[in-house]
Amino acid sequence: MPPMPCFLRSLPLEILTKICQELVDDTASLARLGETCRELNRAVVPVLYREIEDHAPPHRLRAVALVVSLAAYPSRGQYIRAIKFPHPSPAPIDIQSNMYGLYCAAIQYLFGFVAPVPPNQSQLVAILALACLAPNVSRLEIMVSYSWGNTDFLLNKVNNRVTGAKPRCVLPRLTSLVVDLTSPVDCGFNLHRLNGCFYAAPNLTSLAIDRPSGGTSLTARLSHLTTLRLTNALMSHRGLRFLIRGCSNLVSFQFTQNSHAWSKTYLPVSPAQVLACLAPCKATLRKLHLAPYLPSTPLQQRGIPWDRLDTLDEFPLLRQVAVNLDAIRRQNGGQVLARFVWNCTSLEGLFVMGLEAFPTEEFACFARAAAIRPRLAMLKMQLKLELGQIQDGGVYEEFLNDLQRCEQDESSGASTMREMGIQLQTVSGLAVTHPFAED
Amino acid sequence: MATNQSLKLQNTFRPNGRVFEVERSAAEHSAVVRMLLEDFDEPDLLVTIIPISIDTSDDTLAKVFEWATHHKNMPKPALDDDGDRDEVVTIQLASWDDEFFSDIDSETLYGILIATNYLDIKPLYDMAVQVVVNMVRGKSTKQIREILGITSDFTAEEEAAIRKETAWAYDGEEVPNETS
Repeated sequence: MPPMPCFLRSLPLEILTKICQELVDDTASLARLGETCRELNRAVVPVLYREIEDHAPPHRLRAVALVVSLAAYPSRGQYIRAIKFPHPSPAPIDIQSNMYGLYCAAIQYLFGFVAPVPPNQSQLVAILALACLAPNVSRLEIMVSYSWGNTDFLLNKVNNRVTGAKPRCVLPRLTSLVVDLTSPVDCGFNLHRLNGCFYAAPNLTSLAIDRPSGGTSLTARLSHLTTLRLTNALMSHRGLRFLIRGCSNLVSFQFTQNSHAWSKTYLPVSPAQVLACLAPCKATLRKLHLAPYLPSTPLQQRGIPWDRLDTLDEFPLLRQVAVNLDAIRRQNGGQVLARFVWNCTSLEGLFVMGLEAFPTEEFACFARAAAIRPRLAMLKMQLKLELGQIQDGGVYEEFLNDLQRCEQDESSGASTMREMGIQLQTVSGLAVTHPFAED
Repeated sequence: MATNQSLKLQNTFRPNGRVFEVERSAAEHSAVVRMLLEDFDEPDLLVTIIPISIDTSDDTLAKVFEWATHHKNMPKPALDDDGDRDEVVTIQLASWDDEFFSDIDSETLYGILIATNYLDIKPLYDMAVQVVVNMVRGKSTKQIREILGITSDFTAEEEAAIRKETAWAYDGEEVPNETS
């Protein structure tokens, strides 16, 4: 049977693009479709390059092959918008191959390396070379390994002082950087390794790092940052202060500290110190998610200064707060949380974690304070245990009685609270990744 | 709501287009028709002929409405669900749908893609796209050209350059060295 005339060529670009998008998980087939004729090539290329993701774990040469390809065909780099590399391990490159020679030439052109790249650097170098060859890349997601080196090779240094990013290592459109750590070890990923990357991406607005540590030698300033997520952090006061010191535009800040991984080599930042570090963004901060390290025994007893949160008065624009109850100062008797809510005049959403520590006698007072807040539209309260699992009523029973009493008592503003939708959540841990749905 | 009412739809792209009488529950697979029913007086729509203007044949539209009638009881996605998902979902065709697509030619498949995109019939559109994707997936360039009836308009040098440029996409697979 003679072949039908090609109907694909006549399809609108919108439908052709949809067909190409369905093939992004099979880049080989998509590339072959683009090799068939000019018209289909025009539809395939933007989709093929738009989001570079390493789908095939056994073949980890993709970053290297892409660097070689983009060095030879630089115009393709403009289509890349996002780069996701979930594999930290370097690919075994055959140094006899033609590709290796081309790759080394590209790396030398970009970064000025003259010696072969050390094995622990190779994947990091390949990914950053790829990013530098994609002038429009806006999102970079990388899975790093503890053994990775640092990104200082992106820097121009004069007399050992950093003068900025090297001319070919600027990532002007990069606005979002996500760094995950693959290894389960608890020593974290030292932020200094990203110092060069921070210089190279001066317009970074969103930064998310899992298990960040160190940071005390950071020199880069992240002045455009609006969203900062530090999860399972292993950070001291000084490290956090150095990271945030230039962030005067921060809108959303998440800080959860790994409570079980204090290596005793540093003093974890205290809740009050976190707020002190946030001083540069007093006028802009709207969302705060704070679940810092909380010592089982008060550190003051051991002569270590350790301050909990007192008030959020210094952050007048705060609208959404997720906070571990234990991080709030317990002094002057009860009504702590009530005063906390009372002082946050612009609060729209509150998520209180760790209700086990809630002084039950405070609840009615807190409920009234919350009900009076006209803008507070969402209130979630979190227990660690399932309500059904509570054998010994104790504090839970009293708490639930208080909740019921408060709902029945008209003067407590129960109806308003019901409208706000108090939710008692039961989860196994205190570290909530996204306390607010819109995150 | 009376779901067994019928709507009349006519393709006005060409003169004297056929008037299709489609059960309301079947026609509601089209988000465009559902929006019309929401925005305008329902009694009027039920007696008047709803004009649609799609560059496709009446026979193709008949196939589209045949599919919609067979699946009239299938739940319809919400109007505000634009269906954009990050992940790629491979659609498994049910046996009836498999048979439905097995006896259609390229021209009808083209028409179904155009019509379902215009009428916003998402399930059928997704299935038609999947049928085309299955024609391409795992095939060599030569096979794709044969299946889709494509004549290459690249010179040999251009073709070699494109293969070299997209070598990264093969993830270490040997790039097939074939000619059309």
